[in-house]
Amino acid sequence: MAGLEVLDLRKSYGDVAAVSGISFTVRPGEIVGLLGPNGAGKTTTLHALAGLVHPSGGRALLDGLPLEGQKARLGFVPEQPEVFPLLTVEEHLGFIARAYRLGPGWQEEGDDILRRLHLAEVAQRAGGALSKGMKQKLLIACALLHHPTLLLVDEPMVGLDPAGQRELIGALRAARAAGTAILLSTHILSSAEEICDRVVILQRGRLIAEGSLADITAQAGSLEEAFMDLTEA
Amino acid sequence: MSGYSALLYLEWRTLLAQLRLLLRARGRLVIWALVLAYFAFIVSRGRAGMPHLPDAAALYAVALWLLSLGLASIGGRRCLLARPADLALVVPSAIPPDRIVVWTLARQALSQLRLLVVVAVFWVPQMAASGGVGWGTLLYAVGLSLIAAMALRYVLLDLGRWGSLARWLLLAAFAALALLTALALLGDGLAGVSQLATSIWPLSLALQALLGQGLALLAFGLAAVLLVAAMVALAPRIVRLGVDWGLLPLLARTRGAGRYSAAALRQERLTARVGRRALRRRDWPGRGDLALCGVELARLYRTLWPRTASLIALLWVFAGVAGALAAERGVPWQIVPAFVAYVMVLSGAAVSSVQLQAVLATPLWSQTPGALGRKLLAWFLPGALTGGVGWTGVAVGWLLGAHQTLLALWSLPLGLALMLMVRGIGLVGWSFLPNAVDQRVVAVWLRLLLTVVAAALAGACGVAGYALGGVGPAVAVAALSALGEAYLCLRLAALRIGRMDFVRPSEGRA
Repeated sequence: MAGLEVLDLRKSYGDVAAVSGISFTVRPGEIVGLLGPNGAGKTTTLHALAGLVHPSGGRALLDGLPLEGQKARLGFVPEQPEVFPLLTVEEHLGFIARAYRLGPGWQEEGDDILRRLHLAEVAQRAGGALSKGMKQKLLIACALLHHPTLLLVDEPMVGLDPAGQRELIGALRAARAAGTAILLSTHILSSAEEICDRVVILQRGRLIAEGSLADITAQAGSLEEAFMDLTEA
Repeated sequence: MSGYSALLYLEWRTLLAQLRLLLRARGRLVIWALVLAYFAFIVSRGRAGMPHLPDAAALYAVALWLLSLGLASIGGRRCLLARPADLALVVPSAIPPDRIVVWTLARQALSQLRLLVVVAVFWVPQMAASGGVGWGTLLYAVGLSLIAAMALRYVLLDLGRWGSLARWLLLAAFAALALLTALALLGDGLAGVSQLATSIWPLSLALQALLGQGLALLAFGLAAVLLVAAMVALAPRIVRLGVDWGLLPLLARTRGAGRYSAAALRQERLTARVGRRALRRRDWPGRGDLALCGVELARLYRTLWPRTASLIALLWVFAGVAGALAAERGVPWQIVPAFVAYVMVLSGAAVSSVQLQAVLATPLWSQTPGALGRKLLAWFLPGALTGGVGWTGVAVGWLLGAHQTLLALWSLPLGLALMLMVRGIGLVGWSFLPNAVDQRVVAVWLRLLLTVVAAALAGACGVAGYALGGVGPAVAVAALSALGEAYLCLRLAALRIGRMDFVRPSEGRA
């Protein structure tokens, strides 16, 4: 199957099981929301998929091949928007272009992404001088520059003002339209409702629900109600 | 080569930005000019052929070098990937782990070149000049050994608990070699120094490398290449460990949630528990002071007890036995106290920068009403006294073994006072140059010079005390003057820190 396949993924820290054998898929051109209360294992799942932590068990495949060997096809945006404080916005893109060996057209592409995210006017500003929202948008620009097959985004709305959230949603939709598989963790259910095609709900490291928004909200009426029902059960 | 070109681009642009910042700050330029003038003076002295003690100088340099390497090779796991942006932009990128590790190694070896400053301040330039060794050879020898030490650190990192044990054994071996050097220097006199240095391996190898002998340099080169190869082979695991033990806890601290890794989770829970308990006790004096003291004590307890504390106690016993054996053979008792004082004061001043940015970001500093100076003192004392007891215990053990009971008793307060002075200077140094990556060399140089001046002042007071009434008054006066200097450092640091943006005590500042 094309896209991301997560099979029985597990991660433990000593006796604490942060993720306990979860399985789900993200198809190309699809945005899947990873939802769950605090401590549910969302960030750990994303970190394991991004290769930041070593899973205790299970597998992740991208287009049928192990994800581990395909970092060049992966984009990752962490929850905390940490950028290089002394590099300008433009230089961040230069770094990414070299890291992914992008062709000569990357600068025009980068300018376009910066314009779409309203970062063009701060292109010469150092990372340390950016606001939290701008840093978040810069990391998203860096993650999109190399056209990833799979984009992992951890709590992207945190720290963004309403206009920033709108721009981000636009950028994610554009990536989806280009065929990118997107796995997005968020606390903001209204955003998930607006942008996600399907959702995966975790609680205490276990997958408790998975399906399209229509399926999940069919009985409860809204995603928030469904979420509360599922996580309080 | 895509990985390296990206990482080189990152370093190059960062360097350019740092230079731009430096050129805009006149104060920093002045300090840099002073540092460069100092080095020019040292080198010119060496070239002028002034009278030296080449053997002694060489051995001091080797001893210091060995200790520095020991410290570098046991460095904490948190040092591997230290920049939060690495988590977002480097580790998950297409850059292969082996290149990330090699790049990290090169960055850290370069940053550790400040150790050269330590060596340079004392003897090496003069030794190099008198021994006919060029700066190129010297840099090659020290650079290679640093790379080897760093690579060894990462390889040991992969061995888990065994690696931890190996790190301690390694440091003990380095310390023993450094001690041997001091013994040779102070015990046998200069005549026996060369003989000893050329007879003990790897002390002899280190000395030969510093003196520019080809085979020794080749051996260092081979060791460095082998260790780097081992490190590259283990790169994926090393990067993961670096993320788990370095970056994730770092992010957890700045995020305040503490759920990124098991280690961070435990530390955050502990700090929160102690802090909450202390804050509930409204009747405690100081209003925040003792809470900070409690948190710091808890941190020390968790990091030192039981393994490190046991090793330190073992070292004291070992020093006692060695002291007894040495006394039987007529070795002068002054050797070990002099060596301990040397390492504690000079090396300690060089390598121990008191970093406060993470500590000051916690609510206990900004939300409690006590004066900043008192809070600083309450936070500062446990760490400084613990370090002081650890080091001074070695001298006390040796002196007790050598049947110098009265001197052993005197050395304890003096050792503690000296450690407070050294740490106080570290605190002042940080308060003047906080978070300045480009100022690291300057900061080491500044701390060393301040420490030399402060120690000389305390020593002069001690000499005056000796003239008045013998050893007892000498130690008492020296200790009191060191304490006074430590107090002044604390007051000055509090004054500086109080002006920083991230500290907003609700009432009163020192």
